[in-house]
Amino acid sequence: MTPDELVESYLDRAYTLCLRLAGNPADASDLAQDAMLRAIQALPGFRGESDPGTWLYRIAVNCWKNKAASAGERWRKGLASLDGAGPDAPAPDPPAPDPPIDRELERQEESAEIDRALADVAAEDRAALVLRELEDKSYEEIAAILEVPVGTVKSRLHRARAALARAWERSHAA
Amino acid sequence: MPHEIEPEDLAGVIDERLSPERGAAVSAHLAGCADCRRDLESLRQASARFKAHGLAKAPAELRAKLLQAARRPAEKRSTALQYVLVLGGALLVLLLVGRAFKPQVSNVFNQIMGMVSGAAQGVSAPR
Repeated sequence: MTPDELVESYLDRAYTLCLRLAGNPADASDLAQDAMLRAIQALPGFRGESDPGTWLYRIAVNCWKNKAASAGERWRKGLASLDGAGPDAPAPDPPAPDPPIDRELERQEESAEIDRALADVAAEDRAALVLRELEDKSYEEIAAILEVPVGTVKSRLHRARAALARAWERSHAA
Repeated sequence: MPHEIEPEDLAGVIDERLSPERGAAVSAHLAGCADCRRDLESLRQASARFKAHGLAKAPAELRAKLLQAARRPAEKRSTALQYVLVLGGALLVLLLVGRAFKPQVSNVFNQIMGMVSGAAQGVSAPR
């Protein structure tokens, strides 16, 4: 795999994981950039024994851990960003040109709803949810990426799904 | 009804990760517990909606920046290859030129060797 192919094939995936780890688009961009640059540098040494995605997500999680260790609460909490891009802030990404405006607005609202629902869930729980639901990773793979026991993966998935379920029940009841 | 299952077992049901024995126990409990069935359905819907939302799109400027970084080493490699090719070409030209002028070069070489040899004899000859 060339560095170009790595970026083309995995950037959106890595960015989605980073978005759930960091909790806001600005920090997610920084995190995804760090992770991808490290992966590009390390790519010649990647022997292809594991899935490139699993390898890249481990790098992203390590980058996030380093930032959380050095930058403190903002990174650990994720959604409570100091620059105001919290769960209630509108998504700053410009809308893609292809989908109709109504669909895009609906998608942005859904995205904000997911952000709000996951606001009180730990970043690692959100990451486990992304890896399971969007990447279809096994419990063992998620455990390896997040460096936790398999039993912890199951608990994290349950907490994240339960938070989403509660939030959606609240929004439907309102 | 007492809940004989852990909340995490519901994750195991959704992801089909329960052992046959545990799966049977959880199924038996679900059959008789409306609360747990409702919780399971609610979790399934949460899972499905999150899945349906799909991947986020990385910002265009981030993509452009990373693609530029990804191409940089390749450009460096290509520049190094160009240097090697130019150097190789230059050596080849020198070789061909040397070969074309070999007789003349050889004569000059023989003359120099003759001079050196003569000088050496002059120095070593008994007086």
